[in-house]
Amino acid sequence: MQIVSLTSEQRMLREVVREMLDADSGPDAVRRSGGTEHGFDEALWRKAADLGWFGLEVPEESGGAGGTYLETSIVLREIGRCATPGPYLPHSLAVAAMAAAPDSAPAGRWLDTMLSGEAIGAVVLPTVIADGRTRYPVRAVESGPDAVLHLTGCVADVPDLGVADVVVVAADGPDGPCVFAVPAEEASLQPEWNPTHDRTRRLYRLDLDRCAVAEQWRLAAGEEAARLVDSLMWRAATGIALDGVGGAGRVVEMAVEHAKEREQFGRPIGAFQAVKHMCADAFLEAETARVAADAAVMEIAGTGPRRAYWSSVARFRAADAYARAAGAALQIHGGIGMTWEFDLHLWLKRAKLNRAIFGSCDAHRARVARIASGAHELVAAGEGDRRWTSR
Amino acid sequence: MDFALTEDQETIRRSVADLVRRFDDHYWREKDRGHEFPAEFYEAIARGGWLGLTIPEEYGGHGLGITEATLLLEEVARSGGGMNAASAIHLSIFGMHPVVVHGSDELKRRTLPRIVSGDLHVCFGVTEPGAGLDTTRITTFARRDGDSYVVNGRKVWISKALESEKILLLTRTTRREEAARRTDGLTLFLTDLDRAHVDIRPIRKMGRNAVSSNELFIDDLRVPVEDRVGEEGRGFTYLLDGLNPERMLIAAEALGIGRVALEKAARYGTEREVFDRPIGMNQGIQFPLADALARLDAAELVLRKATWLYDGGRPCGREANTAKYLCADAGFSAADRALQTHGGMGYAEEYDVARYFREARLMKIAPVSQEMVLNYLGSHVLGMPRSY
Repeated sequence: MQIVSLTSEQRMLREVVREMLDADSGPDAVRRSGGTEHGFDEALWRKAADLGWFGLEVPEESGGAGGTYLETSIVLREIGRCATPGPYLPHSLAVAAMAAAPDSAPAGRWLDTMLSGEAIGAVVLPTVIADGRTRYPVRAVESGPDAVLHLTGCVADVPDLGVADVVVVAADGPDGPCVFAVPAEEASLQPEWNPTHDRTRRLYRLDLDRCAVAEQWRLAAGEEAARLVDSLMWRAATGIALDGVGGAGRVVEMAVEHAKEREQFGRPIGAFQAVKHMCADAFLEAETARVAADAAVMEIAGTGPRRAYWSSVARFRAADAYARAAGAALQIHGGIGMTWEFDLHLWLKRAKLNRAIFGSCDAHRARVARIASGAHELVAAGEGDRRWTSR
Repeated sequence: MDFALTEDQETIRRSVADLVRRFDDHYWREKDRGHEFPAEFYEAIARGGWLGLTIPEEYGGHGLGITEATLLLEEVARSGGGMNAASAIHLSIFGMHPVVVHGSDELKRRTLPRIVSGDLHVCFGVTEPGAGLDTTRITTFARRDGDSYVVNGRKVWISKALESEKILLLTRTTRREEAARRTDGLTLFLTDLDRAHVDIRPIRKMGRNAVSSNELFIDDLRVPVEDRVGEEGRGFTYLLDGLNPERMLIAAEALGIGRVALEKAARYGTEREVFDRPIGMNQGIQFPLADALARLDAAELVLRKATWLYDGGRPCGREANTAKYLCADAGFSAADRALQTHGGMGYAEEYDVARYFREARLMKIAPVSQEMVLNYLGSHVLGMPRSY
């Protein structure tokens, strides 16, 4: 395990992202954009695209900046810090999928416009189920006289599906996993918005009923698809973790600031140990989450052998920590924290929702247990299936 | 609703507290260190007539209920005697329950008055290495041979076996595979622990060292039929009767340890000065102790309700289990915080909280683990599928 140490360019990237989000994605802007038709600030989205945020790790020959996942992680963390609404995480996953298959038809059709922000991507990934195993909710089945592939299945809680122009769908096919890029104009793609308390993210349900696959949708098949799905799941888990690391850091800052300013019984409430210690505990939560997320980022950026393990550890650790830190921050703010005017609830609600997307915290815990005990590899090998091994 | 103890119950509580005050922390510290049975304490309790608290009057006891028994053991533990004191008398106080309810008159006449006088020490032999909490899997076997049985097998975690004359022994008389139901075919005896046929080996352990915990190797132990409690094959049911009161007693003992630990901690926090003021002025120290108090008080209420239900002849499984769970937890966490409050001194034997801590930890394991209590509540109270 390596410790993340940023180069001067990476530090500069973080500063630029933070400056821009502080200016354009403060709490007022978050409230405003969360309530718009599409649920995010489209001007900010275009700015982000212009600054090259979407292609940070895409090779230069494909139109990106040729960096690593580390750069992407910097952006995702800062977005979490501001609880910025918008399809940033799913889009980053869809871009990664296209970039992994640069010669495929979908990459040819979508990659450029996705990098420029004109087209938005979303992903439908397999689920991590309660016992830590992977299950594909979407199946690709051959049917009809020509044995055409059809996508069938029902998925819940897909982030930002409603604003996507293209959806990267991982399916369990007749010969193992396969990945398709389904254009949003496809008639059978009808996402249904499931409103949640969190106004900074939108979750959708998707019912695919015998959606006929066009050949030009195929992004990957066979071994290549298995590897791609693995990598997308690691990135999804780590992406949620990074959001939590950013958000947890921010709510702790807010709590500490309040504890220093607010006076009761003639002194700042932070002088009371019960409050001070709560701040310290929340800080510790945020720090341990950061360490776990850093480990996952370094594994993914360096294609290390423990990507599955660390991404799941980071996922549950950071999502738990974010929710706990936000809960502590609320307690420290007292009645003020309960008001609608005060901004803390924006983070608290996002933190709660983070625990439930791309697999629950408990499912990722179970996955970590499976990997640590070796069960994951054994079962996978027994099934003649190398998906989701810890390597 | 009436939360008050009766006048008699208050008297019991006060008298016991007065009696056991003589045995101070120094006494228990030395007994624990020397792995020495607290004979003087036992003697004093017996002479006070307390051992017969729940034994029927016709056998020399007072015929009182589990409420009085829990008050007694709570005070005993709270005196600073902790589990060393409680375990020394625990089985005499309520452990004879299966004998009282199901034993023959002859067996009762032969044994109960001697329990009351303190002359007869007994231990309880149920657990086996191969069975753990899955009691019906015990294999110690009693084979009928004329007017007696011949017993062979192994027992483990038998408290006070070293000091006991007799054992309340659970055996199989029909093998599990051959029994109609897995709970059939178990038979209970109250018989002599004949050292010629039972090898008793104390287990080295973390605490409660004044009362031994033992492994028993039983080799051709001959048990006369008269020593059988009730009918052959019905032993498991007889034990079931005693499980809820057993949990309540343990709960009371855990509560007592938590109380004494908390008292010590509050006193130390008020007296000890660091950075020019009593350490108890720090919220980081005061709040965990206040929290421990709230938890002990809440746990006590459930315990009182449980004993009230049992003594009134009402179902009490839910409350007995909840009381054990909450009291064990509250007692341990009070002891843990007391140790923390004492800082480095908490780790020294001299301040006694380390002893409370070690003993309080036991209550989360014995007589059933906290997890098994949750199993009970989950499946029997919430109606969820059995998870084990």
